[in-house]
Amino acid sequence: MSGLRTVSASSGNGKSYDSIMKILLIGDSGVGKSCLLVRFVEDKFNPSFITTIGIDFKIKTVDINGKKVKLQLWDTAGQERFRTITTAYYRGAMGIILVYDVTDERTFTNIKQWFKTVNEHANDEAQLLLVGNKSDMETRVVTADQGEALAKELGIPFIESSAKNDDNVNEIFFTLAKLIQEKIDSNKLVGVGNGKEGNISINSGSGNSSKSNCC
Amino acid sequence: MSKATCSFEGCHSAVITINDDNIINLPEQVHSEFKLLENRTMRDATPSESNFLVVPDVWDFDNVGVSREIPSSILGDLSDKSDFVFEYGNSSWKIKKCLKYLICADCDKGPIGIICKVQDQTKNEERVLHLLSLRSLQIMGRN
Repeated sequence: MSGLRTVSASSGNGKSYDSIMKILLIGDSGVGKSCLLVRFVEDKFNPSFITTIGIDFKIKTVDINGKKVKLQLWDTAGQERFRTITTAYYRGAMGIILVYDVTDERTFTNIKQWFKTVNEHANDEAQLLLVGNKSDMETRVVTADQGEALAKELGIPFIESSAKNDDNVNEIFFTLAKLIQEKIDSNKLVGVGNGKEGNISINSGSGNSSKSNCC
Repeated sequence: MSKATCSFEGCHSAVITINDDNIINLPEQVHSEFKLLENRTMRDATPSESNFLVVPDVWDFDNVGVSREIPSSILGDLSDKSDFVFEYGNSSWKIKKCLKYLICADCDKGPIGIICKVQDQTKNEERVLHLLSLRSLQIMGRN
């Protein structure tokens, strides 16, 4: 399922997509949220100054049941350290990925707190997904069964991931997008996914990041 | 209809479908001034590849990464440098400030473009535009 990379959505004229989805990565700092979004390897073509600046968001186009869906994927830019993620960050989010590190029990325990915070700030209709990251590490302390159990308790789906494996990372975004699209198709998310209206506040990358980057 | 893709082997991520009406000319020095990625081989060199594509809306991209705000320490102050002026939409625009970088959404290489604050030379109106460096990419399907 490496479908995230090859899709080109443009029809040439007018709207080049069927729907757009804002998706957030949430969790303690250090769990590898950024690594799910970028995997900077510094070389001649990945100059260090871009790594230093960091990434605000990415747009990826996926094909879901024949529909061109554009995903806008956001990282928290480290605000989680102070638990100061503002409501603006959550606004318009249709998908939220709760990330913990399978080698760090504290980040797993904190997921319940993040779940509570997300429920306070995000749209009730937002689709959540629990992700246990760094599953390739031998120093794992949180088992996949524990992750499953927590996901069941919270009533959300669960995936383990390794940011070292591109396909796996893409599968996370694809899985979430598919769940959201199914919600849209069953009209549970009417008026959110069928155009830009639902996402106006997210700063369509037009440079006003000081407003939307919620610092 | 041509497409701009990542120029790197094994990636070739689809960045955007090119609307020829939105291609602009910028001086050669823009590449070095803004530290933009140069296509290594230029094997697909066509005149347009030294040009830029104006992308008014970020949702026009198929796949792209957008950096955070560029600190002034990286590009310095543009005000005392040569003017970067281009024609777009019946107006003459001047680049006032380079705000953010664009990179490949799949392999993270770049920068392949910039997000700039530009100013209409006659009306003093300011806008924010995405300027995609066609020279930093591979152009597919031309001819």
